[in-house]
Amino acid sequence: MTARLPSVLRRGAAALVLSAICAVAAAAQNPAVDVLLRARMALNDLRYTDADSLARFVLNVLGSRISGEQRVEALSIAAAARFPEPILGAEQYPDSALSALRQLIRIDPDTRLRDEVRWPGLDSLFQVARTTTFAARLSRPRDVVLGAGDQAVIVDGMSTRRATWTAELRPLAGGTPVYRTALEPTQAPQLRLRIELEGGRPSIPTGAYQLIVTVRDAASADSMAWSYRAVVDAAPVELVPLPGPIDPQLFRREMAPPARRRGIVLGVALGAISIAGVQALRGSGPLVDDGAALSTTTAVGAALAIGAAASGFLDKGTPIPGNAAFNERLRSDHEVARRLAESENAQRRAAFRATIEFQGIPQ
Amino acid sequence: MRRIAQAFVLALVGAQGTPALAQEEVPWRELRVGAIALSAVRNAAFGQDVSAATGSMTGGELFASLGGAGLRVRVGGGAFTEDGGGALGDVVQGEASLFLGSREVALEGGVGRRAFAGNRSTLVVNYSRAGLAVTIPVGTSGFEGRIIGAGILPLGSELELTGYELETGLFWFAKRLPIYAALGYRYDRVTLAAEGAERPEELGAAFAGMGLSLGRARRATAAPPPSPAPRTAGTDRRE
Repeated sequence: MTARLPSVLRRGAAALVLSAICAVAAAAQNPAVDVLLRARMALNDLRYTDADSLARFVLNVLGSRISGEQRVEALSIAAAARFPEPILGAEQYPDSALSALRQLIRIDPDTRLRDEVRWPGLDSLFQVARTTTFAARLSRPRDVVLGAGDQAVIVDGMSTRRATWTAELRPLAGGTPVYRTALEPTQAPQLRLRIELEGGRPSIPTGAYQLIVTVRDAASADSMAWSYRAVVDAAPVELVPLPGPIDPQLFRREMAPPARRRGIVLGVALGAISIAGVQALRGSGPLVDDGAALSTTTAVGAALAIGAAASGFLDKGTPIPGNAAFNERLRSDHEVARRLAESENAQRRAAFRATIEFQGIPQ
Repeated sequence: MRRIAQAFVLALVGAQGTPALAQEEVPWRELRVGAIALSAVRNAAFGQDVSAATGSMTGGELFASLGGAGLRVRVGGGAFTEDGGGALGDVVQGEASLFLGSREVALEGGVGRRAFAGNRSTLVVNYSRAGLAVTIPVGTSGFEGRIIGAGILPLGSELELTGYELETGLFWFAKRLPIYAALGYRYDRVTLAAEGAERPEELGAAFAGMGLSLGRARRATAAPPPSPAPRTAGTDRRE
């Protein structure tokens, strides 16, 4: 025990030294902490001018290096210092205090005055600032996983007055936005992101983007904007090609053309066989050289020839059921192939997922 | 000559245009009953004496077919009165023939009996016949042409009848009514032989007929059973 005591003492001393070094280092790294402490002390000591000067120093000189919380505190001190309770002859600068309060509300529309700076007069001035200042707040965008055609709320917010909200997703590498949405004037917006598949290609391709949300007061044209970095992972979907239109040459004619040629051929055949064929069959030396028989043969043969040839012109064409069935089956098979491809594509589209992650703090 | 005739028949039967319009085998079902009238000129020789007569014949015809076979029965008779000589007389004839094949092309074989009562004698003769019948329809017009060529051979009687027969005709079948009408020409050239003596004769007749035709299947043309390959035109498109 006695042997360990010096070791404990040494460690405690080292911790004290280390914490002191860290405090000094923090103060050196962020001088706003020290200045705000001194401003708060000045306000408590009723040294309003000093408090205001120190708060201005934090806002104007250190403004780019302070946190939002420090900015809120500096503005609160500045407003309280410019509009103190009217005791002990303290001077009040309501316009200047109102300006600080408006900046305060602009940072956070839901903010409230710290208890240590409040008094009824400042509360009234704060209410005036709240009713006359346009301000808006936006939630941090939510990471989402979307299917084809899905949409989800990525950010919501609020504004002190009805305002027009827009959001767009713009490639970090440059180019036109791949997504844009706008809402009707509202005080409680819900901005949604929607992704579609266009021929297997997602409407928001894989890549790095910048989400820019803008709100514009419909009455005063005052506006605010936020920017986030977004990373999208959306692999394209390989869709099955749909069969194109059927080659017209594959169709067979469903109606045979009128049999005019056939009628003419038949007429020639009947006439020729009736006249010339019979004369040939009579052979050499007919039993009787009968002119009457020959004329009868010729007349009948001619009638048959004319009748058969004319019949071809009465034909309107013959339906071809086999070809009609062939064409119907061709159409049916094509329709089946199309439906199969569409079904397969529907499954692939249903399996599509896009992941959208938002990184960093608003810029 | 025979080859030319075969080619001609094949050309007629096959004159259907493109292969895609090939004939479809439709059942050959038909029942036809009708009357027929002939206006004929008959020439007959008796030794060196040749005589001619004109006359008319009437008769009936029954034709029934099923599948690839058909049966035809024809009976008829008439009188040859004009002119004179040995050709004058009455004729009565009956035939029964069997057809094997299709509606378009069929082989014919049959038997017949013919009696001729003239001013010199009465002759009764049996005969057989064999030939080819070709039918050529003209689309859906209802018309069809028919050509029948047959040889006539003796069949077990004292008298022997040999020769040939050629018949051409144009038939019309009504589309909505079971009736038909026909017009044609028939030529017979035969030789009647008995005890060494031959008696050639010929008959040329224009005929007209009409009657009832039942169960006639609608004629159709078609291609072979389809088996279309999935082939499309144009560019593929994706959803």
